[in-house]
Amino acid sequence: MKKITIYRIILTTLCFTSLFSCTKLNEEPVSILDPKQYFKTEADAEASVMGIYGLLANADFYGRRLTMVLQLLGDDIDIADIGTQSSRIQLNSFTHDASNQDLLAVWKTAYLGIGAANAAIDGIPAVTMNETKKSALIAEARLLRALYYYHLVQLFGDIPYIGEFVSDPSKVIAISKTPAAKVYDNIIADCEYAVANLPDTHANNNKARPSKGAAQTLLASVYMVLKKWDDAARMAETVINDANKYQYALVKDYNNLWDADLGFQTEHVWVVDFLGGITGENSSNQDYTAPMTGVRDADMLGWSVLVPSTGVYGSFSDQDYRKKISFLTETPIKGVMTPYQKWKWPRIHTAKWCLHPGTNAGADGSDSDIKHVIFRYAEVLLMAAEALNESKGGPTEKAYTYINAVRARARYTPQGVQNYPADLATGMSQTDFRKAVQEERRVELAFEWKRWYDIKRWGQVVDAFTRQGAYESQPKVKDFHALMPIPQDEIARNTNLLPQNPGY
Amino acid sequence: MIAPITKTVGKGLLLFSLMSMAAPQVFAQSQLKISGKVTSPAGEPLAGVTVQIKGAKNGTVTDVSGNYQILAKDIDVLIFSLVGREKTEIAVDKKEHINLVLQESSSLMDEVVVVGYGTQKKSNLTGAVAAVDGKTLNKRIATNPTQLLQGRMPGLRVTQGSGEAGNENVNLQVRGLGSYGASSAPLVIVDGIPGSLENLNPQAIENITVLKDAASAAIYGARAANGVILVTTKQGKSGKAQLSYDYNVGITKASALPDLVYNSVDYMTLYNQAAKNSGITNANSLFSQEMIDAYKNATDKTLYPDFNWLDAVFKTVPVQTHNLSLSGGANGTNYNVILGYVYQPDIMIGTSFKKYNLQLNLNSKINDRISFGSSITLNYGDRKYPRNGAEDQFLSTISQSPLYGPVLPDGSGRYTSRAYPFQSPNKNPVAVAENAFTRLNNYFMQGNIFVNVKLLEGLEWKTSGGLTYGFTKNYTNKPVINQYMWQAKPDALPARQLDVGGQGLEVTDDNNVYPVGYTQLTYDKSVGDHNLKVLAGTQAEYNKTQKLFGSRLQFPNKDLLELDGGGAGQQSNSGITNEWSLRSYYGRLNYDYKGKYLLEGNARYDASSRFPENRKWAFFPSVSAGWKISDEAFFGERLKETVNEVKLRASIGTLGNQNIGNYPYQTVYSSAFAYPFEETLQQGARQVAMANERIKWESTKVLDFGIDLGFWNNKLTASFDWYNKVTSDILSSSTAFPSYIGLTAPTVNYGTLRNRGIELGLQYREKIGEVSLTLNGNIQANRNKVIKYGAERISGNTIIREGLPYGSFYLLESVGIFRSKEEIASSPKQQVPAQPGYLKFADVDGDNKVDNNDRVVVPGAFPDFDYSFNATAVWKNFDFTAFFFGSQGQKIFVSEWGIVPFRQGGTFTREWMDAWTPENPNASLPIVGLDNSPAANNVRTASTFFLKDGSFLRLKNIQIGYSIPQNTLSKAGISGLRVYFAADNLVTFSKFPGLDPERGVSSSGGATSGRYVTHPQNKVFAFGANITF
Repeated sequence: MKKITIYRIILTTLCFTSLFSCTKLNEEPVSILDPKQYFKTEADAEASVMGIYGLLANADFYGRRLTMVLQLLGDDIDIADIGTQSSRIQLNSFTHDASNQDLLAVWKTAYLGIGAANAAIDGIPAVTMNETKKSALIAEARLLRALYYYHLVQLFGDIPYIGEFVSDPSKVIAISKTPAAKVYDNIIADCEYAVANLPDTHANNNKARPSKGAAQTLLASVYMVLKKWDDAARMAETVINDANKYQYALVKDYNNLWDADLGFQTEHVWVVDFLGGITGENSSNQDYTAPMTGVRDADMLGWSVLVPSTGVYGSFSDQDYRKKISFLTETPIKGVMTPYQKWKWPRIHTAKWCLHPGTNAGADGSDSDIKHVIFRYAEVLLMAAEALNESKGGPTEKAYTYINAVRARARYTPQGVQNYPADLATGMSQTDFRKAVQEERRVELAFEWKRWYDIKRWGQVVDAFTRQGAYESQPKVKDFHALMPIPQDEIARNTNLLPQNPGY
Repeated sequence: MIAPITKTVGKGLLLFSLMSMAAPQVFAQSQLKISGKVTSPAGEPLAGVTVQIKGAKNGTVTDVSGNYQILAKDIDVLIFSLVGREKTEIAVDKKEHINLVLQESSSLMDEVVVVGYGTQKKSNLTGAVAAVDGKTLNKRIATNPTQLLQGRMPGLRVTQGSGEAGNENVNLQVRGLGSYGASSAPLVIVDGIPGSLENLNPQAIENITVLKDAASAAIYGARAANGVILVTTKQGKSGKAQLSYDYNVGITKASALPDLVYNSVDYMTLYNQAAKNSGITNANSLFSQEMIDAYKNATDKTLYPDFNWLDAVFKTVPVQTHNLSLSGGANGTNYNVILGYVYQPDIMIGTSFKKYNLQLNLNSKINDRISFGSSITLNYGDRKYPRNGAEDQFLSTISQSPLYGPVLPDGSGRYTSRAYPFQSPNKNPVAVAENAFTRLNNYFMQGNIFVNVKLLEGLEWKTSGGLTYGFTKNYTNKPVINQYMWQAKPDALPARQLDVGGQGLEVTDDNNVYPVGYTQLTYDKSVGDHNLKVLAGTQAEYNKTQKLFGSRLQFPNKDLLELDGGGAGQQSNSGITNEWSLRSYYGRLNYDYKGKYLLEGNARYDASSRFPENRKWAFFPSVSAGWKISDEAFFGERLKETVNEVKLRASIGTLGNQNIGNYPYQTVYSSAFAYPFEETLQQGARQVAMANERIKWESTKVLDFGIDLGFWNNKLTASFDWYNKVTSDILSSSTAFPSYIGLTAPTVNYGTLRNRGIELGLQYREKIGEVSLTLNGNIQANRNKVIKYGAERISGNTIIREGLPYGSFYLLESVGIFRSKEEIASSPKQQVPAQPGYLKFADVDGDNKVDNNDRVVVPGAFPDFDYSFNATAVWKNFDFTAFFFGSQGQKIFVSEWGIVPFRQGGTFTREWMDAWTPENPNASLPIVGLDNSPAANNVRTASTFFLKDGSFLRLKNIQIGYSIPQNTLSKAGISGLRVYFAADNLVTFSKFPGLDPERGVSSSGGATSGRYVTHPQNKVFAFGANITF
């Protein structure tokens, strides 16, 4: 009797014990997606591509950091508020080193974007879906990868090229740098795939997703960097010839390009879309371009960080409508229109972003509605003009047509069409035409983070900052500054990335 | 029946109560009815005292008021006994009233300590365990009980980061920094299940134990690496219901505030000097003589004030604490209910905390075999604070100048931006406090029940289940507030908008569900001189947290504080769920021979959801042994008269840590990368971090040697421990993972930290005449060292290098002020081209220039030792306590506002009036400059100049109480009334400049380096009364 009682008690105990033991130890992650369940449906494939864009439309890329770095390096932008972060001041004055935090952030963000692109490129093929749509999605991912590398290779030169999703880090943890030429080959291959597989347009004239024309434009730009003038001319002219199909054209009024409330515009070839009023996580959808370039202690509540170099304003013809649109010389302070001489930082500012960041933007213009331009049609025209001049040993008729189209648009003002700038008259030498295109790019694309890449590919890095009458004088600039240093953090983790770029 | 009726006194209180009630009929003829009250030396009633007649089995216990009644014969002797008190015998001798003051036991033999999943006699402990009772803790008044642990238990380091109401930022560390990857916080267990200290009412705490070494903590294997804190809440005691009310009001002010210059003329004069030193010559950026004269000769001080911003932001406030408790018990069922309410306005404006707490404890002995109990905590915290937090408010305050007040002098109620256009102060802190705030409502519930069944003699089966549920609602309101120039006209436009980090309303819901259950068997057996105790059990727990966030931007009315009050046009939301779970088996074996040779083994076998399939389970064993030398025959009786107890202890074991992110080994995709297409955000998804399928438990090996000593019949007791704690396979984010891989670095097991140290606790008890005196002292010293880390890492002012304490200071050495151009010419080239008046930094590597290679490791990342001293004296109805707490050897690097002059144009401390100028070449401080000037950059160089001594000794608490004599109260139906005065942080000895040296530990784990402006601790003058009915 007694024995049985004990037995029962122990049994009951054991039952209780097993009851507790039923807690599952393999919880399924909720609201975090498991890749093993991932890449099954078309929606998954779409989301994986959207994930790549989140790093483009990001405060560490087109929302501030990348564009700021390119502006600071260029000779068209300087710093007004010298109290800004020292990493910025160093880039502007060419005293930066390999531990510069802005360069590191650009490097990291680009590679995060590349990692996301690689995941999509490797993952999407397994999804069962419409094959055309599938190829288009892969093409989109590959073009985005190409864009990230386009920036990395131009900024840093030889870099590690990661061309597939890394599932085993030990395979890449000790790799060496890939020569820049090889990186460009890969970029070209991605662009070509994108050209072959992307649609001509997207619904609602959406220019935030690249079309075939966007891929051709990026390809043309890469050929320009590589001085493959025939290819560059061919590619740029393909875009121009198919402009109707792609819905590309110059907008009538240059000023409209800088109004965020106008949304996608025909001149946009490919833009990075920001939507104001909503802040995404992890710095995605955050844009600070307007306050970075806006006026400190004025009604626009800007920060006066990035302003035109002192010589730039004077270098624009007063007759050029684009001068009026590109520069800001007065702004209301406490409701009273105040000239720049009386601002906290008495410097002429840029007007392209701070005036119309969109109705949803914050009070200081941050988290704007701006669609930041990767490429616009005016640049396509100027690329074609420049490439033709170089490849044909001098300006062709088409070359004049293209550059003059840009100049003609600049003559339009709401008050009527001006005479300035007049069409270029035919009969120019190759050198003169080259100078004219370079000047046209400088004026048309002023402050649009094109300048650094331009002076690099034209071999003018030292000259631009040290010549008599430089727009921005920086005595410390040397030839080696054409390449940025590989971030020190990265070299510390993989010494096979040595040697460091010379000079650092 | 299997088990006989319990005979042991103390275990069968119920039985005796029943017998005493039944007694009159039996013995009525020959017995006296004796009654009386038993009190402590402090005059407090003692409940639960067993009153027995010598030689008889029957007896009774005192009720909550200490009262008892018993029938006894004239010749009987009454025995009064209570755990922890001296057993006392009193002859009846015709007395009908026998009141007794029961002294504390000089022998600690019977003291029982709460240990993991049970209790143990203190004398039988072999591990390193420290304990403190609730009464000692509650000498200080605090909203958050965590604060009260400071200095009470050697080995537990309690750092209170701030005095901010509801946000004390208390850091607990057992035996040094144990990990830099996973959390290094100890595990907190409340009434047997994982819980929260801060959500308890301090008054509800019966006692707290800290398990420090592997032997005592291994039973909590999985999460014991950083020590375990066991909290037991107060249970009711049998006897008549007792209602008690406790009231306390504390006049609270900042423990220390810097001496800032708020004389407008002095401010403007030095500002102009700083501007001149900074090369500013533009007359529009300087105070003109006219401006200075306006303040100097002002007849209207409202227009031209010497405004003291510290006075506007820091206030003296009354903090009120109310506690109402009901406790008692009958028929085997005891209850204790405590309702607490604290209203704590903060010393900084716009901040307050209200805490409502209900503790319901019930335990019931259903029959001789089965007992049942439960404890439930309900807590509601209502915290309000300026949305940028206390530090931002403090620095904004210092960035203001005395030339203007927070609100315009014209009576319009408009907020001030500044007095002159070239000034650039930070946010107006008063405008922020009054408008832009976060309201944090925290609802917390923890409940647990247990059933204890006595299966056989010595064999018990206990099962307990608990549930913790927490819900937090956060409203952050960021309205649009205009700021105006000080002397703005009525129709003037705003000078700027208040920067509160965007605008709109953000609402966040967080909730956490955490069920835990365990079941265990214990077996107790003594055969001859061999005593054996075995425990085996299993536990499972599951935790789920969820978060939901929503915001809207445009609010037409700033008082509509719900999302629907805002325009739906610009809104955003997000949400996430996280889960983890643990399953464990645990066991303990205690064996002793004659209570002289002690052996204990603890083990736990744990599985965590955070590790991959084949690495989920881990085993954490420990063993400890003790030898009571004083019980040996060779010890000798004569020696024992002096040294009555000597116990040697040794233990070794392994503990684990799994406190890392939730899905480190699984490849997870995050969809939080939104990209806007066509005017809506599209969901984007990408893999965020590299997964590591090879991660395993972080493990900590602890070796501990201890000795417990008792002198003169335990008049003096001492407990000493030496330990060596090595944490290896530290779980942290890989530092060797290049970014070009395109994923965030994975969690890896890498790195080793060592903590080695000593702990000493002393207690001395003495009775001199009518004065009972108790003295306690604790001291602890820990040495932290990085054993394995990989390539050294310099971040900011600190360095992580093998062989050094984790995160040591790494700074340039400041070696005085350049007094002349000649001195500059003959000195190494400085980073900022030097001028007379600049700080001079040492060229350590001898290359004749000062650069980053000249930084040196400076000791002071952690204190050399912490110590505390407590004295209690009781004389008649008076009681007195003084508690000192100190820390020695820690250095603190402070920067920015308040310590660097003219940060954002703000004011400065008085000693900067003696800054270097050409006219004052022998000044004590260097040249002043405005932000970003070379002069300011020179001073702000990360150097030993701003490395301050954080050592301090403070009178943490002093209290004087008086218990009003019983006879004057009983007419009013009151059974006890005590009044007291107390003061917290009354006196502090420290070399730290201006502010409180007691501040938070670094979030990165290493040396304390950060902004000077930390919310100070509170100095409190309190009055309280406790009344019992």
